[in-house]
Amino acid sequence: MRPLIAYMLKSYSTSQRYFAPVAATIIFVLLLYTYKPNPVMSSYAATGILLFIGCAWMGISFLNHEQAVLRQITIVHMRSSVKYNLGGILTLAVLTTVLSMLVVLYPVLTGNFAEPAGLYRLTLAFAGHLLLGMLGVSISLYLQAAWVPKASYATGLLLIILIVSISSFKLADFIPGPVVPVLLPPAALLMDVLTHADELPPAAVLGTFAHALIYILLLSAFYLYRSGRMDYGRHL
Amino acid sequence: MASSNTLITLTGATKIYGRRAVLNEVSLSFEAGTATALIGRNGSGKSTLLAVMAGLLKLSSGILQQSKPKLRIGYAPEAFTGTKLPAEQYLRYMGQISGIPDAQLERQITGLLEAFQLQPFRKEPVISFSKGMLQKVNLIQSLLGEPQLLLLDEPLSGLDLPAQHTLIDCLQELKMKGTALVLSVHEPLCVEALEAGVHVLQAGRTLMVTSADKLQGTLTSCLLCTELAQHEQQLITAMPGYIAVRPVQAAMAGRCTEWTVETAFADTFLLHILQRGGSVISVEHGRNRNLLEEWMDPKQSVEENAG
Repeated sequence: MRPLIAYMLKSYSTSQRYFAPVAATIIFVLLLYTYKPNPVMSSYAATGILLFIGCAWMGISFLNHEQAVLRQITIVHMRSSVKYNLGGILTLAVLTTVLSMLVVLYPVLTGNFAEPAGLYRLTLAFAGHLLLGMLGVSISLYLQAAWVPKASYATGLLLIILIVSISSFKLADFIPGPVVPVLLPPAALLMDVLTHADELPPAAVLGTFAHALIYILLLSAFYLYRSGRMDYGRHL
Repeated sequence: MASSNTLITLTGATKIYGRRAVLNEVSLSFEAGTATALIGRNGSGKSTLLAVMAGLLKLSSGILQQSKPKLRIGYAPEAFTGTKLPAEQYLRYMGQISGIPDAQLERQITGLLEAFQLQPFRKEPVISFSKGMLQKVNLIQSLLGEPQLLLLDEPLSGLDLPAQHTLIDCLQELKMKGTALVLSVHEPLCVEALEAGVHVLQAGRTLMVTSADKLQGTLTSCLLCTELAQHEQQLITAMPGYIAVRPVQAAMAGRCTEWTVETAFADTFLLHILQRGGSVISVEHGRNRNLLEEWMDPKQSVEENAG
């Protein structure tokens, strides 16, 4: 699996398709910290949501960067389309981890916070960013060209899902019951937990993190299950 | 029946896109140390069959059975596109993904780049390569690790003459070492040099399984007869001397069947057709046709479709 991840990272970085989503995420984070001092956890909640959007965008650009014929060859060398797709998810996880670390450490290293962040809050912030980033990635899995061939449809769907996810508290007011909290990506929940992390008991924070992790794992597992039954023709 | 040397077996393989069967009830098996050429005109299902065997396309019905769970397969698709990675680096990644030990991989990449005269271009991005050079990179990646089953889709396409001979030398060596070679080809060169068995496909169906020498320069007869029942036709295709069959529309007799058979067996076929209630419209003896080239010629299919 390691050679596949190394190949995917090299292939993606050489394609330069990473530039737009990564640059956009970094620019918005820099803009957010233009003024100082900033509150610790509220700032992290805001950058977490930026990472959620940036990683979803990066996910789509990554999953579409390899041409169909090259993908066919890589799958044959890997001897399994499921392993190939798992390699894609793990590569995105590596990229998301690096971005999360950058986004979490930047305000600490540049002294942008009003008070010391502390190890507990830094750990929570890193875990929250990682989960929000992977949540964006797991949504993007279903919007790549092999699943949604029309780029305009994929972009439209992604925007709708992102907007609905971020505004799920408002939606829950209109649609009572478990539909909104269970079905929609828990981005707003994570943002809320990060914002109020100082007041919430650790069990409540961990519960929300576990909810997001299960959501990500379910989306990824179903994607791998379906991708093992798909055709990999030369026109996808 | 599959022998102990059989690497991969397809039984009743059917692949349907929309409402069109691209492969229709194809059954075949490939043994270690053999070469098989898939021939047929454009759209006959050769590339689909190779992609199915490579595990890239799922069958709509039928069974694909590999003798070993982790069969090492090499696959060179027809339309290889470039990558921005340098040729040597791309090949190294593919070899590493295949699990080839580093020392063996380095030795093989160097050897193959030299054999295909790509050594001076090894640091250049593949995307900047010409069509022939792209095809060389495509073929080299498929040869890495000496696969047990090698699937090549039009391997000679775009290659210059020295590269064609280099490839054939490599393939002959692999065949001797026990690799099963399966190639879709439009040129007789590979078929003859590798003494390949020939599997002729037409509109996704197996038209015949034969050998190159049988298709080349055989004295054939063309028997134009009225249509027989499906099961009767199937019986005839199993008779010795049978080469090919195709439905035709005759001006006076309507829907007919044109049987191509070896002239030596023509009388047996005529007798059989008459006994099964068929009528003979015409018999043309002694056509010394090179059927191998005829089935490989894409121009003919264009002309037929236009007709």
